[in-house]
Amino acid sequence: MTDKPKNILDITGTVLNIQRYCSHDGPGTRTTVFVKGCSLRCKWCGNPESIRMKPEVSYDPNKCDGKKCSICLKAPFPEGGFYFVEGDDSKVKVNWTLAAGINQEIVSLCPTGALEMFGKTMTVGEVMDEVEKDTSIYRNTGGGMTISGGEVMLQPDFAAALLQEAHNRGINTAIETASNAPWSFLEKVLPHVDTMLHDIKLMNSERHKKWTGVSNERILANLKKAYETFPDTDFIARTPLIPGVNADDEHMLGVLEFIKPHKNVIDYELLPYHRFGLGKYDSLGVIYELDDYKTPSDEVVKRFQTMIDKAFGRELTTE
Amino acid sequence: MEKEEKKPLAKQGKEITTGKVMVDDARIDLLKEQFLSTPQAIDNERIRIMAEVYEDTAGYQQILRRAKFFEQVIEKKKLYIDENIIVGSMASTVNGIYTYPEWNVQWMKEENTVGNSKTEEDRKANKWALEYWDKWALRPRADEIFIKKYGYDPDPVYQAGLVAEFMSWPGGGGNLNYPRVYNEGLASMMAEVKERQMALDMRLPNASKFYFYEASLITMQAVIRLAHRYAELARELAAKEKSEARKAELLAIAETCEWVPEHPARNLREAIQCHFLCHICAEIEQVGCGYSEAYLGQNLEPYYKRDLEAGLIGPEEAIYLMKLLFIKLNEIGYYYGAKVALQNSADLGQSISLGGYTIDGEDATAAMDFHILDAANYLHLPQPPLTCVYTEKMSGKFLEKVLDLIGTGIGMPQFVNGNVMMLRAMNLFADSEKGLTLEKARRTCIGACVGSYIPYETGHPVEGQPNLGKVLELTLNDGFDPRLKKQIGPKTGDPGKFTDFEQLYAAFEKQLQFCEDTLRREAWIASILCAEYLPVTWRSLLTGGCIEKGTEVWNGGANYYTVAQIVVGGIDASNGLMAVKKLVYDDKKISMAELKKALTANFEGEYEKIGKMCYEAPKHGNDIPEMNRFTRRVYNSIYQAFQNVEGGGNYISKDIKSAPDAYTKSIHNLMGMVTGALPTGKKAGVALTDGSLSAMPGTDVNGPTALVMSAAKSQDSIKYTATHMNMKLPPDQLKSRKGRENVLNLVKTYFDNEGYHIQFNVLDTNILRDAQKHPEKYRDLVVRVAGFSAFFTKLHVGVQNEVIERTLQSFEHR
Amino acid sequence: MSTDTGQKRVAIMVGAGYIPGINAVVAGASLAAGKLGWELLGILDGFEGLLHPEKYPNGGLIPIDPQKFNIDPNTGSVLGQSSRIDPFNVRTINELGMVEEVDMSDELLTRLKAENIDAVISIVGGRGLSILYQLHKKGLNAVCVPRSIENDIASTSVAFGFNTALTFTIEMLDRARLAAKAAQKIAVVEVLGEEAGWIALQAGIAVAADAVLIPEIPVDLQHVVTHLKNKMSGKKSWGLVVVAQGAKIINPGKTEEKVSTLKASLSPLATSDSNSEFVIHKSGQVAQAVAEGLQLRIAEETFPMVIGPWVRGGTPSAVDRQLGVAYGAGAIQALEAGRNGVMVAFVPPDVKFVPLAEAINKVRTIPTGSMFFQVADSLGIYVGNKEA
Repeated sequence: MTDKPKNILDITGTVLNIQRYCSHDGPGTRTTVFVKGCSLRCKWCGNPESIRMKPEVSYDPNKCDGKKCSICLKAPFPEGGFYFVEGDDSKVKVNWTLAAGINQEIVSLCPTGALEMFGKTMTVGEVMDEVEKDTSIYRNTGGGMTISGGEVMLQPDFAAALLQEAHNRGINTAIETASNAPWSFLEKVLPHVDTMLHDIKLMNSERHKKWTGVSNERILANLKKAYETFPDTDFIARTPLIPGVNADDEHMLGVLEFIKPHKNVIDYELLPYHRFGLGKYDSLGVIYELDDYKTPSDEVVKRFQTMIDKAFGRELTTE
Repeated sequence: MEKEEKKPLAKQGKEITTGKVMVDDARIDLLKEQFLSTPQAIDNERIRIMAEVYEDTAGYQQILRRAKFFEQVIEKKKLYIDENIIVGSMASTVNGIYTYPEWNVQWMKEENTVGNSKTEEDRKANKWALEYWDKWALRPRADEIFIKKYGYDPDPVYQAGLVAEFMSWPGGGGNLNYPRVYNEGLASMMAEVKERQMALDMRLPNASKFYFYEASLITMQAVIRLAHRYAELARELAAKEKSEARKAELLAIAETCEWVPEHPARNLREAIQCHFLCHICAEIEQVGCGYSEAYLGQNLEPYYKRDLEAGLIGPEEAIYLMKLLFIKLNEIGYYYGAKVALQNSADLGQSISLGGYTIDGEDATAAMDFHILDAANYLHLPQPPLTCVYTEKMSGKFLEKVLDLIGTGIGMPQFVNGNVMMLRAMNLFADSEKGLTLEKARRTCIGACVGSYIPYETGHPVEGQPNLGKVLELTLNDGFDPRLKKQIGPKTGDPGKFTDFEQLYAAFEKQLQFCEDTLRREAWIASILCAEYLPVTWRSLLTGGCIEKGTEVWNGGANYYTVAQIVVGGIDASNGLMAVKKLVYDDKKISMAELKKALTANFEGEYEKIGKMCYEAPKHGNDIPEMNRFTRRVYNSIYQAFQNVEGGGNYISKDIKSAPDAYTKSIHNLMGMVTGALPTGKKAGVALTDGSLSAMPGTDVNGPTALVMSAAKSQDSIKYTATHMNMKLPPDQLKSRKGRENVLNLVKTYFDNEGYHIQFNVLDTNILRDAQKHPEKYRDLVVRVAGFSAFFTKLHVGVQNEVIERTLQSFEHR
Repeated sequence: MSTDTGQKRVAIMVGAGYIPGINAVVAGASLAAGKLGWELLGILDGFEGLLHPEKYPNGGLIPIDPQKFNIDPNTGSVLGQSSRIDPFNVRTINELGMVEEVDMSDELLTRLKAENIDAVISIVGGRGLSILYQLHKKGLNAVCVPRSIENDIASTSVAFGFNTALTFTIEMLDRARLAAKAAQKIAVVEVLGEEAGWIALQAGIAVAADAVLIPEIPVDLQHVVTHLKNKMSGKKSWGLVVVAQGAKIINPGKTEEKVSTLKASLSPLATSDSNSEFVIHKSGQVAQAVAEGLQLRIAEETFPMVIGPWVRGGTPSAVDRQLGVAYGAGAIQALEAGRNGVMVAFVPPDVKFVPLAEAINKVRTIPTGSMFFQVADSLGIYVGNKEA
């Protein structure tokens, strides 16, 4: 970081993807900016491409021209990084271990676009120009921009600038965060946030460490402080519901107890676990650690949802 | 419009030094202080010049006579150059005001201008004016013709406050084509006019055209002469100036004024100077409210962009220039006696339109539009009123800035709906002789305060203001005005004998028709007289169609026409009639006789209870379906009565479609003063409801969405040329993100439902009350009144109270 | 440090989880090293024992004494469980309390130097080979022992672990076959084989299954159905279909859960590929999909079974135990012969040392003209994408 004050439009960050027309990342219809880099390693992670901070190569075999191209088998591509298997030279194969160090410059040599980088460096201005395109739909739906990840708090200066600029352009802001970051990072980002969607993955600290790589004391302390420091911000607690990890009453009651004293926590959402990440682990060469996790049953989800609705004073008519 | 965009900008020679300006906000502060601390004062200079030269021009064709008089005023008026590097002024001193006896001298008599003259010269001039114009002024002459034609004296109608007439004082109105002058230069326009004049076949039908062109040449030469006089003065001052910096500044002023408006502007500063000189000449020719500035920022944008690229100026300099211009715009004023001041609160309606659509239907917002907001935010002065022409395509960034300015409490900008403006223009003008292209319809902008029309080619004759509160009062009294104790309207029957509400409504419609008939007929007579006696050549030159046709604007030269008939008290009538319907006819809680007694007693004493019942009857602003439908019915009746007069059209032709506006300026206060207690619960003398769709103060109790949804349903925003709604919000409303989003959502929802206009006041009521007690502490407190903003402490106490009492609408907070 | 006497200090480590026969490899290496008077040390949990010795009471690096070493086939790997074998991406918690992967390959080499370790023997599979190759290029003396239950490592005919898995799979298929017969249903049994169909085909032949679906040959379920119907005409109304985990099905009954646009855009492999072959990534899913796909087209009831995880434990077969010991000894021989950066390959009847560069990026699949196909064909087992 330079000391010179920068035009906030020029601040850069690593962005994975900008997804328009999202309906589950905060109020209304939103554009979600996925930033790259995460500070947890949840074993069930569905977005392996968002985990590491640095841009990574990805491969779409549908676009590969195979043998007749073969550019990636030669320098500057790394030795052994790309290869053909015997009897099938229609598509190149990737040795993810050996191809790991590849950069944007080399990837751009791929003429078909089969190789691309997950994550690119973008300025606040570039991101906002994309986000601003749906301004009209935000106005019609009460939507706006959400920064998701990865972990937004890993790039606090970028995130703060992006959110601030969104407000400058009259766009509602939300973030999705696991809140595992120093408080000073949250303090930078939160003044520009209208709605904070935050995970509470596990209330039990040891189990939290087992499943995510870190204990949860700091996360819970951050959340409490955030609720108290930013009374005008809406908070929505969330739990990715995974049988065998956290789909139990103890967790559910623990979370409800934790958020109860804070009136600005407006909801608690359950995210029943879905295995979406699988193909990506393959394409990134990351080992998928949680190999056989089930989606929670409808009964379980319904049961917990009823507990939540009760806690929030929402009476549901029974079917 | 299109013309000005196609023309390449004038060359920007290397040797030109006028483009570069030095930002100096200390100077802005100084100029603002000079403006605030200099009281407005009548400047008799115009009358002195008139007394001196007017007789000399006798015998000329009237249009030439007026042009020559204008030329003399320009030549003889005293000029000054203060610290403002944009030069020009209406009168000879800062905040000086010219008077215009040509319309009416009644107020001069009432206020004894002759006796009160400070110098012998002034006394002589005032005496001359009084004698001369007592014979020739517009108002008495119009009355004379009216009585002859219609067989009754209209004056009691005005005395009663059923109608506020607009012929006792000059009217402004119109977005004049100043851009043509700074884009093309007057020299080029003069060449065109000369060519047209010489090409005329010299037969009788062309004589009036010949005279118009002749007057045009005199007038344009005079405008150039004014600039050159400023240049001469600047050089003279420079020669004596010791400070090198000031000297350079004066020379730059000289260089600018030697060039514009004769030639096309070479940079932003010259364009602004040119714009202002043209504007001040329009005000000198015929002062008035409503010489609006159209899309000023967007018109200046090409100059700004080019200067920016050339490195001459940056955003700060552009903002600085706008501040200088805005101070100048505040220094203009008019005065026709105390009554008109009450009516208008001396608003000048120099509205600037921001945003809107380009001719291609894209978001038109320019960088200069942002700078205009910046300048206004710095100055916090009532002029120029700003309007945000909202479109769905407008950027959030601009809207944020708009909210920032509204959040300061100065009630600007107001929001209007770009789509409604477009539909309205198509409705009014598509069938006109000229026709209307989609491109032009998209560029519709604000004229005067709230109304909208096609800029640069619309003539805007004034008609007057019908007082619907009074119409209701007359209806309840068989045409008799209790205040004047005089029969004013037709005898429409004793309401005590009506057996159902529809009979009452039929009587109301008859009184309304009488009101419209009187108003429009006299206004038309006045306009016909204006065409002959008070032609406005400079205004015509800047109104599209006049040069092409060789015809002055009041004589039918403009491509389009609208009228200024500003309906006041529609909501009072609607609320009042509904209360009668409910209390007397539907629920039969009270009899008509009891109600009338209560009204006569001003709801005092034993009638307090009835007053309360009236106040608590269903009211507009709460989204009650029956009420919404009823208000719409009342507004449709008004529209119909307007169209019924002589089969519609305007004073020029039956075929020129026209429609009423509905907004109030501050006349709702004046008209409230002359209107007695009403079945709305309003007491005698209290202001009527402001705007055309605002709620009666304190009666909109179902929150902001109910108010805007009522408003959207209660008046046809497309048929009318304006609707008008004010809303008061808590002072912290725009401080939180949620509060801001709520406000924008409200605007959007209102506009999605064809609402046309909404404006917000976010000032703290406590501050306003304190300002009433200690005006000296709040000299520069600016508030929204109705379609314009004004210094709070200069407002009549009735208007002050009305602003304070408007219902505070708040959104639910956690 | 290697000394003038030729005495060496060698470390041995294992990647990923347990495979029957691992301990035999360690034993083989230990005995061969002991004979040469070399010292053999075991690194616990992949490289973890070396990178984070503080986590281990015994220091993470344990001496393996051939005198005391007991080739106990039932204890699980003596070298721990960890799958963290990639020193280029070691998961740590940084000073801000956030998890991140850091490249610790330099630290690893430094640690080895500090421990005076001359060479490392790695028991690794496909991805591990690439990691070791990278480390070798950074200067590590490495010899790899190929481990693959699926037997898909090129350059070696038989990797240890395969025989145990095959034996067990055959046993299980026998049971499935009997179960199917008893219930008069069609059993669809998923067996290991993501890239290669060795287990599926060899086991399928051994139990005379009705069809074997393998990754090498994309298959049309309609053809499988026709084949089954032909075979079942008459009195037989049950069947046994063996499916390798990586089998490519052209037209399954239902597709995998729809992925969101975002996920699809990020993840090319989350949907079917260009040949519209249905690629299944999850253990158990292919059995499910094939069973459902068949059920749509056939009257007899189908039911899925999964052998998958069962073969990952257990006692090594005699063949694997012997292979393991031989590989272990072979690795020491390679080092003794001054070879390094190689993989020990068993190409009957020889043990060879194949350079790592040649071993990586190759998958040993069943060649088109394999005699296994001929055998299957003659037994009436449907294996390929052709009309039955």
